[in-house]
Amino acid sequence: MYLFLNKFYQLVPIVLSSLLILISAANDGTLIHYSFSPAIAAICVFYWVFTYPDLIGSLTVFFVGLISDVVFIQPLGMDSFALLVAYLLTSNQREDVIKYGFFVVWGFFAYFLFIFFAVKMMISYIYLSDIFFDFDIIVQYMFTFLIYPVVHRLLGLIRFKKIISLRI
Amino acid sequence: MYPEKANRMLIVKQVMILVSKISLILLIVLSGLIISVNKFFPNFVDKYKIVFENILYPVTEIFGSAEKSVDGAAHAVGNILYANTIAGQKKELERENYKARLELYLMQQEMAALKKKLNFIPQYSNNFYTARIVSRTPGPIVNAAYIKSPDIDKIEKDNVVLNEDGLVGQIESISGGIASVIMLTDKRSSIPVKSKNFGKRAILVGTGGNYPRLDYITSTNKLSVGEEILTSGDGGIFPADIPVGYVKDMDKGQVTIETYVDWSALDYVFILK
Repeated sequence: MYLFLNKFYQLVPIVLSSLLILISAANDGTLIHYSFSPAIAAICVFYWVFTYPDLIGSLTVFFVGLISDVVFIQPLGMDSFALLVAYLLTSNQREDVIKYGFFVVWGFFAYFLFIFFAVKMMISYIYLSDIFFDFDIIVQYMFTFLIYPVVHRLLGLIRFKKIISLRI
Repeated sequence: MYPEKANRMLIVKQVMILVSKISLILLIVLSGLIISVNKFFPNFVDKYKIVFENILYPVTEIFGSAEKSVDGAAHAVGNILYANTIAGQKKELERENYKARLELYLMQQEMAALKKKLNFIPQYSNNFYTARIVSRTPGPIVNAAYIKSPDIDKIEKDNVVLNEDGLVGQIESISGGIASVIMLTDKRSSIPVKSKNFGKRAILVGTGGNYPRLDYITSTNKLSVGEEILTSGDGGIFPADIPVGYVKDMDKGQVTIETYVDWSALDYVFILK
């Protein structure tokens, strides 16, 4: 039973992240300006890495990125590359950050998000041979940062009390 | 716990950490490879991208229609409140519609006669299809959309997409029942254009925002704010003389264009084949 639950729980991050990405893609810029649609893939990955690291691995991060690329019609691999790099540079600092409480984690999210956006800009520069830095990016960065506590709270409603880690 | 067992557990743990780190690096390399292949061999990636799109498309459409329903409900409430005004406007519109149809008929007759006299060679094909935008992703990096049409099987990659206001973009890929369109504001878009009055050639490049800019323009001497920009037809993909927009701003040699298309009210488009 626990084995089944574990398998089920390990699907939760990718399923929930995909759902949130799809909801976020429903805004086509007519209801709310696109700058106010957060980088939801980055929020999800950061949340799972810092709250339930046992449930998320690099493969999940890769697939969340790919789903985001397809849903937002971006060059394939762009979000997965940026997310994986941000994951690589931040996941090992989890233990040091999490002990100081939520506000430090939130502050650290700004760092994670900075890496994510910086890598995306870098890829865009290589891919399109053009720098796309503009005010909209800063607005999107700020909005994503500000909305993180809300998404954190919402995702926090899901509790995994019975989970047994399969990892050693 | 026995020391041997503890040692074994420690080794297994270290191996697991190593495997996880290697897999992370491998996935980063794989993502980089996907980006490179996407850039240099787009047709190869499209085949696999289509599989993903076909899985995700029905769900995207559900969320898209949910958003439209919210928008529609708000409009419906507004319409109920202004029912009398709408009834009056309807009659007026019917009259205008009749008048416009009559004018169109007369113009078509006149045009047919003139074409016959001039032995006119048409530059546009008569094949155009209507499509509905089902999902859009306007953002700082991409400005693209998924469209759905009953004639999707007749649509091809690079076909021109426009609406009643002007040029919208071009078809990027087609799969199952949907096609993706790169808008002219997308960073990946570059379209040969000309100014209406002096025929000055340039390339219209998407900036990711609402205002694309003109690149490769030799001089801006004869260009002025408000000058209309049309497709030039160079390169053979876009037919000539499709309205694109007008010069919005000229600052330090950088020319920005205000497009005719209202990006916030884009529902239906035509695909010109």
